[in-house]
Amino acid sequence: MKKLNALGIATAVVGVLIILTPVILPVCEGLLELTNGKQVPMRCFWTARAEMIIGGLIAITGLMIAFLKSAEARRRLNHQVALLGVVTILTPLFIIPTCTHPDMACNLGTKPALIILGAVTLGLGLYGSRTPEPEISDHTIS
Amino acid sequence: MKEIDLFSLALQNLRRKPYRSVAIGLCVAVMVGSLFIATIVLRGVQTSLSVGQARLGADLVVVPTGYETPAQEAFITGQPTTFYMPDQVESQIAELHGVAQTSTQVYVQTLTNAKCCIGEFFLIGFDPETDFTIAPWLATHLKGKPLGPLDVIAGDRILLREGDGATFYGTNFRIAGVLEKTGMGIDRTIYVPIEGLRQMIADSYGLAEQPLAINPDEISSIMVSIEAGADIIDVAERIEGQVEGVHVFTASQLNQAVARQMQGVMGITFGVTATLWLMSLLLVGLIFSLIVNERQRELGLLRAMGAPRRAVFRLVMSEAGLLTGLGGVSGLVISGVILMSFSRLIQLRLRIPYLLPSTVEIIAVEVGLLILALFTGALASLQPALSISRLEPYAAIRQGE
Amino acid sequence: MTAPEIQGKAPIIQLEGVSKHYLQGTQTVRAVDAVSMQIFPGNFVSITGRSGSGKTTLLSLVGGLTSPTAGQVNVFEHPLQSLDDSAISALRAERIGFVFQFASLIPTLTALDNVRLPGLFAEQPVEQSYAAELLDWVGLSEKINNYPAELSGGQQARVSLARALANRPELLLADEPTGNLDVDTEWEMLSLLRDLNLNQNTTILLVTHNPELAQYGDRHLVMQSGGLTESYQWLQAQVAADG
Repeated sequence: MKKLNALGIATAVVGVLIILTPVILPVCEGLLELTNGKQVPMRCFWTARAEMIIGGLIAITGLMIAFLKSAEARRRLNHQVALLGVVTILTPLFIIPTCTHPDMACNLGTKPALIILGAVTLGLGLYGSRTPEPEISDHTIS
Repeated sequence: MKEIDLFSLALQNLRRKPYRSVAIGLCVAVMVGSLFIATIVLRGVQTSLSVGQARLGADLVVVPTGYETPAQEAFITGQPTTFYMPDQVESQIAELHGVAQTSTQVYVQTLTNAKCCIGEFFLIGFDPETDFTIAPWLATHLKGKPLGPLDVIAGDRILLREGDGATFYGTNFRIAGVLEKTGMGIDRTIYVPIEGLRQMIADSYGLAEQPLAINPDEISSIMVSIEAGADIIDVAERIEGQVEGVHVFTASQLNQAVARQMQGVMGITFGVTATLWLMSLLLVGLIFSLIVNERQRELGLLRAMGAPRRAVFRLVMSEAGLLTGLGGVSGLVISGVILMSFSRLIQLRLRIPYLLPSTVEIIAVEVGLLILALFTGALASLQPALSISRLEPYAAIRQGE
Repeated sequence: MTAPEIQGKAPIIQLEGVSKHYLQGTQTVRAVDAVSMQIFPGNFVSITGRSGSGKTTLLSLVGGLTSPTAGQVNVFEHPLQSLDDSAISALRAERIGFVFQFASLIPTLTALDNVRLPGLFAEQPVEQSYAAELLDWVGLSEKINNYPAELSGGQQARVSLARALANRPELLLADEPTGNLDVDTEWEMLSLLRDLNLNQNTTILLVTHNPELAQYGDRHLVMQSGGLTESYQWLQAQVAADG
């Protein structure tokens, strides 16, 4: 079997974890009642939805990195991974902020988990973006 | 490499089998990380209890019988609860020998969605005339300004600032002060002067969606301070013996309740951690036996180059130390991030009081765990390091020929 | 000159009745059996013999890598038996170089750093410039920053020779340094050893299974079942050459 790129697999795993985050650490479940009487989900519900899509993108990019042969192509995709990591971090903070009260479910579990996973994604992307080092292997002729 | 030394050589050696090194490092990281979280949570509970007890300010708390468990929950985690008893109980207790001061409190139904704030919190009516638990704090923070009937004191987690307005059950209050953080139930409590509380109850019939059905002669708990020299347990027993229908909590009982609550979780955690430690020890030992076997010829060659026994010994030990040390550091960093990010979640799920221990204490725990990680590496690699350094270089080099 | 003894100089290696016996199962193996010899500074001595005749064991006894069951090994006039581990190690670090059949370079170090490695155990570190000079001498000036995995077997062997010389040893012990190599590289290595012996006056003890290589030394010993004798053919050839 061809050797897969370990960094790509790790990225894909983190992507899947981001998709699973709102499942394992759910956001607030209640509905808000608007002044016109309509019941709508809380803001953090949309944060979770957005992050699941971003997680999916990260997972797909990771798989592409894992299977691609060209080092240059992998490097390009790792730039994208780093960028997606930044988006993962910024989403619950600024892009679609979670609910206001710090004791709500979305702020207790989901948000910190997403920020950590985003940071890991960013780290993986940056690590994969660097210029490749010389191969060092443990087989000298004895 | 600018200068070659044993340490950098050891570091280079770890890079030869990166996956294996990472795997061992991770094992140590998980071991150190879970131990760190377990220790800090445990110390956090103790810190919170001591701060919270000081804040509680009473030697004994009297509640009606049958409500021991919810009362305990309320004190420890701020889980709101309501129960009532007739107010003449206070005068009965005040007359007893050994009792110095008493003050009543009235608990009001949970507010989940007040206009000001989201989340559950606890409304407690207190009597500024007799109170001795919040009063000392008031004296220093309000600088002698009198507390009006509609001036309330909020806990740290209510997220209101001094001077903010707040409406409960249709009555407008003003936040006169915010209490320091304790990690206990007090953080999610709003203290309302009894006069304002009675007014709020009365007005709730007209102003609130749901009126409050609390009779003016009902109270929830009585804070008791005992006379100097009196024995806490004696006084508690006297109250329970002579006043009907009450249960008395002592501060140490609250401690024990928390201890019981934590025993299960902590027992499992430390059990798992001890297993992890043993596993790391065995794993590192096994891997290093493997490493010295694999590299026997190379290590023999180092001896031929003039490396004395102790250099070979130190090289193997440095590798193990580096590996477990780096694993330990990453474990501390990872668990630190997890702990900081999820401490509220852990606290609410485990229903424990929790306050971050002092920085000095955290650093001490970190240093201790790092020493444990290094000790694990040293202990596990001692035998392989000794055996390879004792081996005759000739035998080491001939091996595998 | 049949036995190149240099008058007035003490032997650099002196073995007296040296034996190395060990148990293999229930049988006693006499790897080296009552060997006596003297080697003087500047000698280039080859030892040949079948595999299992005890050549490598003899070399290890000289280098203090193992200790004899009987007899006396003197190197640089030091009786090795009376030295402790750190003293023997210091002797190896400062005055003896080893080349083995296998290069055993550290895979995570460049060729240059592999050559500098022995400095770790000596009083003086090996200067980068000197290590580069040695690599240049073995013909690897282009490869100093390459990792072992990027070098051929012959190139690795030459790096290991440069490494053996990093501490400017007076005595070089070479155990089948060309054992794994093709014929061309074998001769290259040998000419390097000759160069070293002639120009640096380094004493060389070369163990080889190839009798052809042995003729380049100024003395040829043959090992057979643990015993050591002067090579008869070699002595004859020398007599013929002297005419």
